[in-house]
Amino acid sequence: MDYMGLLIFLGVMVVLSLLLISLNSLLGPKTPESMEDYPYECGVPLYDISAQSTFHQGYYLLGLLLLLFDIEAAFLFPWTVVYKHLGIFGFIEMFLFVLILTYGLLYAWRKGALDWQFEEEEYID
Amino acid sequence: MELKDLIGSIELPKITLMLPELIVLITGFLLFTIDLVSKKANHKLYIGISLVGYFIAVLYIALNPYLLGSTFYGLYVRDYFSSFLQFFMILLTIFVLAFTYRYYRQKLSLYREFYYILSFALVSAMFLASSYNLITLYVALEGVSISFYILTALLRGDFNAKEGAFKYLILGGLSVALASYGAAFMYIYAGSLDLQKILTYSGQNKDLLILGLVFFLIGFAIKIGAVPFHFWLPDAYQGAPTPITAYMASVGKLAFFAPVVRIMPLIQEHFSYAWVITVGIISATTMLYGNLVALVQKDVKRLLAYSSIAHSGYILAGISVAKAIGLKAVLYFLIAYALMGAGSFLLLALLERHPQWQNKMEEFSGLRFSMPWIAVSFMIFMFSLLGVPPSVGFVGKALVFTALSFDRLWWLAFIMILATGISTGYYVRLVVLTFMKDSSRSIKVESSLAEKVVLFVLTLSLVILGAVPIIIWNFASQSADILFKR
Repeated sequence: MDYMGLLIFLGVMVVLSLLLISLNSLLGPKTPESMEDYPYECGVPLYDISAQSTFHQGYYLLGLLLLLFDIEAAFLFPWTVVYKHLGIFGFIEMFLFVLILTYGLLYAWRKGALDWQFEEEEYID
Repeated sequence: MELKDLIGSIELPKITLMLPELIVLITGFLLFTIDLVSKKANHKLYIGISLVGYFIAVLYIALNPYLLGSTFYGLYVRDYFSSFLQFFMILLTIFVLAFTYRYYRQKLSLYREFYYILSFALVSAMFLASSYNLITLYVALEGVSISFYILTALLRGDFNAKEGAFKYLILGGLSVALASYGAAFMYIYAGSLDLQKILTYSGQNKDLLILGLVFFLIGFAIKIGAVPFHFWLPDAYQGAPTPITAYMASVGKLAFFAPVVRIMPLIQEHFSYAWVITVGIISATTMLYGNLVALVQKDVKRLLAYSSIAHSGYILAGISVAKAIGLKAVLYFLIAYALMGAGSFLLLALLERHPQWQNKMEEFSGLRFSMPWIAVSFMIFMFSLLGVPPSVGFVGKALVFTALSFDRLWWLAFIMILATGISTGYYVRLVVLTFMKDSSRSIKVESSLAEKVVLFVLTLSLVILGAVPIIIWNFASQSADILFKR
């Protein structure tokens, strides 16, 4: 019973939002336009009508790498602030951290994630 | 605390405690380095190095089972329970490794990444079994999950694998988010990240603790595949390469159940009644749903995935019991299911190497002529999953039933019997199709010596550990006692 107010609030919330959404489609003016569903691209006609073309996976890989090293930088800043207190211990810890991240970069490099001459991917077994 | 005091209190880590994890981790990094250095190294080399590392780790655990202690300021705990689970995790990884090379070669998906992602998954699973700390649990959970997403998708040109991996990624990400959200509430409640301290802390605001525990455990319930949260499981298990499905059904189950089992005695001290009701209801729905949906499956891999959901339900039934006997039954059943799940999926992995094999139920008929030993082994796996007396599955179910009767949870015990009755429908149908129906098609797959040995060991272990349950019971009972004494 303590939470009755909360429950009523939830009910009112759901009903009100459903009502407002449905009112919009009921009362709103309808002007059918031929270009209504046409995707907007800087005012020029679309190159690709579907507008759902895929990006090459290289972009995603590069995005991931960017994220990885951004986070590394975010960890390095607080470390530099307390570096003097931490001394050799902090140096070793951060060295290990950066080493492991470097391993990741080496992996990406080795597997061709940094290659921007997109070719058919090769399959080596 | 001043920063200087903090640095003064730096203790040297006790490496001997976490040597198995370190060995597996070093193995993984070694494989990684080899992959970086040479692009065309032989796959046999990777398998060899993995096997050497895993065998050293498993030997170390077997020779020092009574290592006890915590290091890294309580971030890492080794006790009998973690040694017990880790032993089986490494062993099952070795079993899975026996099947991978030929399977992936047939599917044209030989990737060298596979070997080190497998070992990173293993090391995270091992950490998951040996910590009370929320941060360690979180990192280990992420480690296992991310490795599993990648391993699930690692099948060339197979859209089902990608779909399963994507669903797993979305729901797995949700589960990790929920678990960390719950961890934040628990930290607010007790001001500590150690689950032992959080659960023994007597604070004012119990609501925070309840909220935190609920979110934390829902996160794990998604990973386990308990029923309102199971949607990813059938797709991921069906889409994944079959050896990986075996890996997720064995090592994955052990890993994701480990933290829940570890904190269960502590939770029961506070919330005995609520715990029994909540986990009991989830377990009942899981058992019934898993078995009922498995009944209408045509695809054997998907059927076994639903059977895996049902088995999560049986394990949860044991977890709901607020006594030490429940924990013992759970540990026994966990190991039993890990062996059964690994065995049945690995057998499918062997059969899937045949180019015409499609995992259809009818394809099993005729197997008894072309591959009689595989058919017999398949029958034993099915009977063990069903719970026919001399098998390990029977002992597990009997133990969970006994534990339920100790706590007078008759309704749950009844549902468990009912669910097992429903499961007879599909397990027995598979056995009947294999042994009592004739088929003109004969499917024959050449298997390597390692595969034969692993299947033989798994099949034999189901019978022997079922006929002499005391072997695992001793270990399970000791680890349960240790967890309850804390």
